Amino acid sequence: MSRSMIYVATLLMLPASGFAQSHAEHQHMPAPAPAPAPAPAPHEHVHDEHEIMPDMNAHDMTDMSAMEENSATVSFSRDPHAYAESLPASDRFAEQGHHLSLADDHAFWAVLGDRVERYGDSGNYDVDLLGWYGQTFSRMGFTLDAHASNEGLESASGQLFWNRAMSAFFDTQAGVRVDRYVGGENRQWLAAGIQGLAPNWFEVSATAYLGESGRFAFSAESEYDLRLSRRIYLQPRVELDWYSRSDVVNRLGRGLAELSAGLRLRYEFTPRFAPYLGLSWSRSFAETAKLLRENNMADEENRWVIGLRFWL
Amino acid sequence: MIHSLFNKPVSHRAERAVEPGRIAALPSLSRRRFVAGLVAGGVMLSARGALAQFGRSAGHDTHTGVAPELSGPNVELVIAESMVNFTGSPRMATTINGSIPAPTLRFREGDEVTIRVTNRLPVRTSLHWHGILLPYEMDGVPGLSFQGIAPGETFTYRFRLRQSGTYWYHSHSGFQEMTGMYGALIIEPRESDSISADREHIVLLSDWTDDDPMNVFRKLKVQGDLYNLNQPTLGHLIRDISNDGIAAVVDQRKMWNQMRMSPTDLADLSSATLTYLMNGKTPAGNWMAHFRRGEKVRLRIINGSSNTFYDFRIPGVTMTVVASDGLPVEPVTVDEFRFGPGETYDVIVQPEVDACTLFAQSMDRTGYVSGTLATSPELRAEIPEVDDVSWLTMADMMGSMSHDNHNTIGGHDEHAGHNMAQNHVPPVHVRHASTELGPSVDMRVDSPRMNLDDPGVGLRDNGRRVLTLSDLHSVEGVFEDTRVATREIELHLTGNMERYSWSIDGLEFGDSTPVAMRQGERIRVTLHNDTMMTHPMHLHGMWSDLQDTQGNLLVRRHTIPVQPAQRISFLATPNDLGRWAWHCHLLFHMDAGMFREVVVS
Repeated sequence: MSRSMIYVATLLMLPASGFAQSHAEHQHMPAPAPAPAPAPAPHEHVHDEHEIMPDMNAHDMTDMSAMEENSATVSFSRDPHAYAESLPASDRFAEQGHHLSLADDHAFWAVLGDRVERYGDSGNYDVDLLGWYGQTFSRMGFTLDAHASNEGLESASGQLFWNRAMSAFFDTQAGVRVDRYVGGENRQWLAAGIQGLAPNWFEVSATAYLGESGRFAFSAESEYDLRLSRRIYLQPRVELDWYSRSDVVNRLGRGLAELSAGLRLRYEFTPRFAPYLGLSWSRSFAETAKLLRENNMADEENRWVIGLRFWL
Repeated sequence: MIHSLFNKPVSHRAERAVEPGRIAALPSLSRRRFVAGLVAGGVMLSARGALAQFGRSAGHDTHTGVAPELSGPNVELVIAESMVNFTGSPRMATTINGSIPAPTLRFREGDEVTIRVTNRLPVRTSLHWHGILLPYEMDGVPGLSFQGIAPGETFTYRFRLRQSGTYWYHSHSGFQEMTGMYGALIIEPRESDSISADREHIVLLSDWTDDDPMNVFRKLKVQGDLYNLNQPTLGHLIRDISNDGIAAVVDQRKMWNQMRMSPTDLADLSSATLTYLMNGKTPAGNWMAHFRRGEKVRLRIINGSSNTFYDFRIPGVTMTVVASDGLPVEPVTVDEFRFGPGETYDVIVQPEVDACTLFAQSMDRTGYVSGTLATSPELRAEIPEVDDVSWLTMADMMGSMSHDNHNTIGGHDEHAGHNMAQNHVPPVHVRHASTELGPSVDMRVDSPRMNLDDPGVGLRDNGRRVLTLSDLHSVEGVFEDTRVATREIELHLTGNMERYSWSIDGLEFGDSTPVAMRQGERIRVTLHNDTMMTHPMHLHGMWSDLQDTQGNLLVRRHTIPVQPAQRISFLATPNDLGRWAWHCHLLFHMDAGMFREVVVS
C-alpha cells in the first residue's frame, strides 16, 4: 500500500537508492526513444541546461542528436513572485478579516500499521507502526517497533522525529530513538536519516544513529509492492542493522548485526485494511551471531507470518 | 423528488463520526448499488428547507428531477443542512433552499439582480457566480471578495448582468460545493436569443461522496493513489508482453517507472468514493427529460462536479455545440465532448427516436451517470457500457518530444497530430519557475505540446467525433477587444502526486504572491502544464480569450482546460478592479493550493 508509508527510520539501502537521489533532486523529463516519422518542429524539443542526464543507452544517444537540432530553450530561473510587483503576499490581508484559508494551511495526520504480525510457529509477535502529524512538506512523526513473545514484551524501539521534504520523492528525518530491552539495558540514540521513493517504485530508507559513549548504528530498509491484481500484492522487503560497537548485554555485536528479508502476500479489502501471509528470514552475522550462539540462541531464523497492514 | 423523510436530521456534518475505509465498513453495500446509487436518491428536505423552497418557488415549468426555478431580479436563498441518501446511507448535505442541485436562477441580461443569501449553517459560507462579470465585492470568494457569510447572517448580492447564457453558481467556502451547493444560473439575452430551440433542459452534472470531503482529502495526503482503481497489474504486464513482445513493453514502461509516474493517473477521485449525479439523480435514479419528436432541444450542460471530468454523449444522436462557457460559438456538430468542473456547453439536439440516453462517463472510466431524454416518461434507451480505460501516453508526460506523439495525439483525425509540425509555430522558450525545483513538483515538461486538437486521453481514436478546443470559434462580436497584448504572464501548473500537492509554479497558495494586473491592459497569459492531469483553470473577474498557436483568437471562456504536458495561451483584459481568484476548478487541486490571487488596480 502506501508508498508514503515507510517512514521507518530504521533502515534501508538498496542499490536502487543510490541513483535515486540525483533524480529526486532534479526530476525532469528526459529524452524518449527516437521519434520515427515526422521531422521535429523547431520548438519540439527543449534542453534543460540543468539537466542530469539519465543513464545513456543507444536509444538515448540517438535522441541526443535530435535534440541538438532544436532551437527551443528551457530555463529554470523565472521568479514566481515577479508578477506580484510590489503587492504583499496573498495572506497579508488576514488582519482585515479577509483571510483565504485553503487546505494547504491545514495539518493532517495518519497512523500506519506497516506490519502487525504473528509468527506462525512460535506465537511471537512483531508490531511495526508509524504515524505523522503535520503539513505536506514538514511533519512530526513517530515509529514504534516492538517484539513480544508468549512471556510478554521482549524489546521495543521507539522514535520521534521531524520529517522534512527534501526533494520530489525524498524526505530527511531527524530525531531521537529509544530502545528498550527486557532483561537488558535501554539505549538512546540521536537519529538522522533519509527516506523516500526511488526510481522504479522502491521504497527506501536509511538512518544513522549516534548513541551514548560514541556508539554508532546504521539501519536501512527497502520494500517493493508488486501488484498482482487490483487487490493482491506481493511485497518483498529487506532490512539490515549495523553497530559500531558490541553491546553484549543486549546481545548485539559489532558489525552487521542482522539482515532480514521477507515476502508478504496481502489482500487489500481496501488499501487501508489488508491482511497478509508471509515468509520471513533473518540471520545474524559476525559478533552478534557469536553472542547468540554462546547463549544457545539461533543465529538464523525462518518462519511464516500472518499479519495485517492497515492505516487510519 | 422527496422520497423519504428522516425525522431527526443530524445537527452538524462535522459531528459525524469518520467512517473507516468505506468499502470495508459497508460490506453489505454491493458495489453495483454503490456506483449506480439508489433509485430514490435525492434530497430529503428538512421542514424548514421545504418551506423555503416551496414558499419561494416562482412556478416556472419544472421537470422531474430538475431543481426548482427562481426568476429574478430579486431572489432569496437559504443555505442550510439537509439529509441526502444517494447510496443507501443517509448523509448530511449542505444545500441551497434544500435542493440538489440548488434552484435554477433565471435572470435577464441588463437587469440589476438582488440575491439575498441567508446562512443557516453552523459555519461561514459563500456563493460565487461562476463566469459572471461583476464588481469584485460581489464575486463571493471568502478572503478575497468579502469575509464570507457568517452563521445566521444574510448577505445581499447586488450586481447588473452584462452578459447572457448558461452559467452556474456554487459555494466557494471549504468543501461545501462538494456537499451539495451548486446550481444553474441562466441569463436570458436582452434581445432575442441567437440560439433558437423549441425546448430546453438544464443538465447539471455533479458528484457526491458519502465520506467527509476533508477526510477524503486527508487520505489522499496519506496515499495519493488511494482511489485509483486502474493501476497497472501483473495481469496487464502479461497481456502486454504477449501482445507486443517484451522489448516493446520494457520500452513503454521504462520511463514511467523511472519517473515514478503512473500512466493510470487519470483522476484523484473515482467511483471508489464518488457517486455521479445528473441534476441530483444517480444513474439508478435516471433523470428524465421530455421532448416531442421533431423538436430542436437545447441542452444547457453544466459540469458542477467537484472533481470529475465527464465525457458526455447521447448515443445515436449528434449534438450541435452552440455555446461554450455561456457564450455563443459557431455551431459545430460532434458525437461527444469532455468537460471539467466549471465548464458549460450548450448543445442543440433533434433526436429521431423516442428515447435516448444522456450518458456521461467519468474520465477515469470507473463510473458514469445517465438520464433519459424521451417523448414519454416510461421510455428508456439503452445505456452504453463504460469505455475501457486508456492509459496516458508518453505525449501526456513529455509533450511534443514523445515518439508516440504522432500516433496518439489528434484523435479522430489522423492528420491532426501533424498540425504542430505543419503549421509554422515560433520556437517556444519554456521558463520554469525557480521554485519548481523543490519537493512540490514531481515532473516538468521541457517540450510542451501546443496543439489544441487533442480530445484527450481515452477519447483519441474512439470512433466518435469528439469536440476539441480547436473546434470552438466564438461568433462574431464576442471579442470586443482585439488589441494585441502588451504584457505576458507565464504560469506553470505543478504538482506532486506522491505528496498530493498541487500548486502553481511549485508554490501552493499559502506561499504565493498575487498576480498584479492593470485595469484595461491587454495581457497574454501562458499556462504550461507540468503535470499529467488536465486542469480546468478558472480566472475570475474577466474573460479568457483562447488563442491558437498562430495567435488568432479562438474562443472566449471563463474556464480553460489545460491538458497534460500542454502549453496554451489566452488573452485577458481586466476591466473590473479588485481582488480576484484564479485556480484549478478541480476542488481538491484548488484547495491543495493550485490557486492564485489576482489584483487588478
